[in-house]
Amino acid sequence: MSSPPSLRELQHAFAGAIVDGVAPSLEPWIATRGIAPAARLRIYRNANLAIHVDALATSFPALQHLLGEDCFDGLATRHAAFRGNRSGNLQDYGADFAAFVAAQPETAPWPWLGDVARLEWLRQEVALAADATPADAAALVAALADADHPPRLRPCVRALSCAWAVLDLWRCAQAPEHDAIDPAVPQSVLLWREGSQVAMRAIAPAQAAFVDALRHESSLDLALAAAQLIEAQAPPETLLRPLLEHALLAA
Amino acid sequence: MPPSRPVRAQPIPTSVGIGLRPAHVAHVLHHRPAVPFFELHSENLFCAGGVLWDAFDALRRDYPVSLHGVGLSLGSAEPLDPAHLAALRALVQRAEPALVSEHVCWGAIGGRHYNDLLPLPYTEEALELMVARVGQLQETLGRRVLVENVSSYIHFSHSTLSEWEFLAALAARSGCGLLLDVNNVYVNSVNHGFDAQRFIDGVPAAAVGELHLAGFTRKQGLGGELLIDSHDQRVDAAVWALYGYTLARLGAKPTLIEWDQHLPDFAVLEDEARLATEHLDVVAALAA
Repeated sequence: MSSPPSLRELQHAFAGAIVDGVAPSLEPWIATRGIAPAARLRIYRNANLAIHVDALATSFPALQHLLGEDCFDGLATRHAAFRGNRSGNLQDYGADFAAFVAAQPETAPWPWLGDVARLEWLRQEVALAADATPADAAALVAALADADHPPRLRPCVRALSCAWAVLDLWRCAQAPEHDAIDPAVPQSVLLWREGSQVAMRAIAPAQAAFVDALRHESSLDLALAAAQLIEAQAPPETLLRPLLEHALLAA
Repeated sequence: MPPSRPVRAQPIPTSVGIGLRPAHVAHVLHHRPAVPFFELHSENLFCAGGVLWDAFDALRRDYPVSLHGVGLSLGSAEPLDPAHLAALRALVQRAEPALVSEHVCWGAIGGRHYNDLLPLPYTEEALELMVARVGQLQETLGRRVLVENVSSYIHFSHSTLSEWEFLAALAARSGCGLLLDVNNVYVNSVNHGFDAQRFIDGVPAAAVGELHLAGFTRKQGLGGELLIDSHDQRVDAAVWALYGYTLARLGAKPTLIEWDQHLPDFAVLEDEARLATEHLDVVAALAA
């Protein structure tokens, strides 16, 4: 028998057993006690898949509903096996799942599923974002008049523009009786946190572009320009309205 | 031992707490049950805000709280993830928990995280690495941590130390404390064929800062007996017996009931805590 593996060699071989199901270099160094080393390693492989499939199911419940449990589990298992997680925190797992779902052959008949997954990931970001006090009226007036210090969004605000009726599809997954929807209607969505709940509403595409630009710390002028690329005559007060209605600008 | 800093949080009492999972948060905040302390997974609070932080802030006003990490991968042959370590440091500074604990395991290699508590070989090489890593962690956090023994389904035949010798040496050389999971001791004793009481006898009593209790399941069809640390049912009778032995051997210690899969009503966890409290009361009576 060769010399025992170093810790690094052992861990790489163990990882191979989790990902590929085989670790021939490691098995001679595993005590059997009546159970084959491969069977012992399979426990870890199966646990690893279960941990990551469960994590995706928690983060993407609407997608799971729309796909059906078996199809979702198949996609999630494939993602867990081939992509895995780059973080020790399971809350980070799934950031690339929407793109993965959109690229899989079994979702091709339903091209909106990737956008539903994008919406669900944004919901998670909103749920976990930092808290911030909404700006009061005086601070808002000052920020809107000061080109050097544009208004900041509360960290829990997101916007999404899709070629599909993503908000209706998400709501349909929550309450399947609303199944008479046309997925091929473009929809833009504003997301934020209200108390402990994630809130969403449909907004105009120009409003979504405006919110997204502000989220990336654009000046008010640049955010306005981004919105007016989509709707040339979009008035600033219309773009700001949903942010003011829901107190989404930070103090 | 690394420097420690004063912690404003309420200390963990020598009684029986409950591991709080997100599904029970609303119940606990609404009913404010008479639980001596709660333990939360550190990573659940790595987020910047939201409902879990709201709950944590509300909880720590009324209860002592400890933080238990599951994703740092202390025993990885590659360096600790600096982002994870920084997030843990920021969390500990913000939350000021009474106790901070991690695991004697690894979970990441080659830049990929397996989000599991994977077993180490009990070799001098692994011990040296764990001592350095625990030292790095304690230095980063500016406080002593506890490290927990994990359950395992694999024993590496080139191990040169028993698991309890490994833990004792790790505590002695790094200055860390031990979080002794009694269920994991029992599970490993069956899975790897050693005397669980001998494990307990080999643990330095003064280093043990907390005990954990949980349920396991028996895996069938593998050709040999194997217990899985499933955290999905009540504490087994054999583990209660070992817990009694542990308390007699180590003295009364803060104890936590853990349940992670197929969560029952909170009342079931309270009942498990009551059973553990009865054991602690016996030790207290004998000591008096």
